[in-house]
Amino acid sequence: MSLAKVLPITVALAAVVPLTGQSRAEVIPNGFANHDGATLSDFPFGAYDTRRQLIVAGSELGPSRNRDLVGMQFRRNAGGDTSPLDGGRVRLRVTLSSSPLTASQACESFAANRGSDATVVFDGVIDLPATPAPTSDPAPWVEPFAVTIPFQTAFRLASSALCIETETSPYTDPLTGTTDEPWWPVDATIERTPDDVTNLGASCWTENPSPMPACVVPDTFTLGGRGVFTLTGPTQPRPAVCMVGLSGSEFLGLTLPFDLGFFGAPGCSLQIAPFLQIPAPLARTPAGPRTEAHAELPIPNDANLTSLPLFAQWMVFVPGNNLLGTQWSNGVSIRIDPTNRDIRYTWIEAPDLVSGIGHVFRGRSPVIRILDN
Amino acid sequence: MAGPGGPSRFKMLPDPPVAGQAVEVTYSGPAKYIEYQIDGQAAVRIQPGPDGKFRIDPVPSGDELMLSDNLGLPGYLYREIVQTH
Repeated sequence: MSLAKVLPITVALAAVVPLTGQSRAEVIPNGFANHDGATLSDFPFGAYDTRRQLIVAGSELGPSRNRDLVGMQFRRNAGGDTSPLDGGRVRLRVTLSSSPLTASQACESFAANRGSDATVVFDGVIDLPATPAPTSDPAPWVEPFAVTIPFQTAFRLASSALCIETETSPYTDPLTGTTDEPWWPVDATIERTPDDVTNLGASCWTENPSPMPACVVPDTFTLGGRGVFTLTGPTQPRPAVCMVGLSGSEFLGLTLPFDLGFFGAPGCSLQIAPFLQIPAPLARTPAGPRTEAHAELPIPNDANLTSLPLFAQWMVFVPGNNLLGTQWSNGVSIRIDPTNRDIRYTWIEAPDLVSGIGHVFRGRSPVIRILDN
Repeated sequence: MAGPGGPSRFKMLPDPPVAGQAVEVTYSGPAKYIEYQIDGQAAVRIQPGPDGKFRIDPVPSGDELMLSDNLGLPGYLYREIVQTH
């Protein structure tokens, strides 16, 4: 092995936070330390440009939430998977932060999910070993069945949710120009989630760079609860209205989405059939240079409403922007469901390293062993 | 396992697929559904099992098999189908 191959890893290892005599570990999601997660994932070792965030409820960290986090481990997928894994290298950057949002509130915007104390805890090359069939189910937390990412900087959580952000990219050997293509899926899990949260269309709001500024807080849409619809915006406060309806396919005989250009809002579309309007202005947030709006919808405690889909879209008043003086967000839909409660982890992912937003996958997580001092 | 531009989320066995024979695909991404398509034929939607695996049995005749999870380039893969005579 050439020195050029060895040196980057050696430098990274030399700068890691050492474990102390009181070091311990916590596995997230809870309950999977000694149980296989039943599925697999390329988070974080898929050898292609990907930005991901995993928002994890602080309660999942147990005692680790009050200690310095110094590393994390991923184990190979087992669960009956006896195939060998192809080793190789990937470039990886890991940033931890104390998210201002809960796992349920987390949405498409990476910046909104990330805390102000964001700290790069690892930036370097990960060497994935060629791995035989696992010797146990789940695979053991030792090499070559597990990979350790030792942090170069420790991190201590300061809020109720941890944001684990990873940026993965392929590794190209500087001498040969060859790009590694490892296949190293890790153990992962899926818990029961409200998988009926759906995005409808895109925003036409020219002031706002996000094409999907409208979102929902899934665990508020339960019987007897107050469902919360959210909107994020740029720095300028604006009057806004959250329109709520029961259909995303038809409105007064019109097929949705309906082009509002004829009515003076070119590029904008009506995504839902509104029957209710909830005024909720966009206001500045203490967390940073952006605005937010929240609209609440009381949900009766009536079992007949279970699985009822609700649709929402925001109308933002921007005088002079077009003939209607309005801009329109994307639409969202969610079903009322008692199992919407207690979302403990949410995963957001973009297929590149430059997007500010990603796809949201609630209740999915790789199994991660967090190391602390 | 490379897509059109490099590694992807799919692993296929056998690789490349053979017309008339089964192919087992393992998917490591987060999408609930993936689609496969042979040449210009209608796309077929499949939900991989919890272990990420699904089978196409048999692989239809055609020039290329395309797999996609509709989540971007890492979830896109195509392979030329080996013809048997």
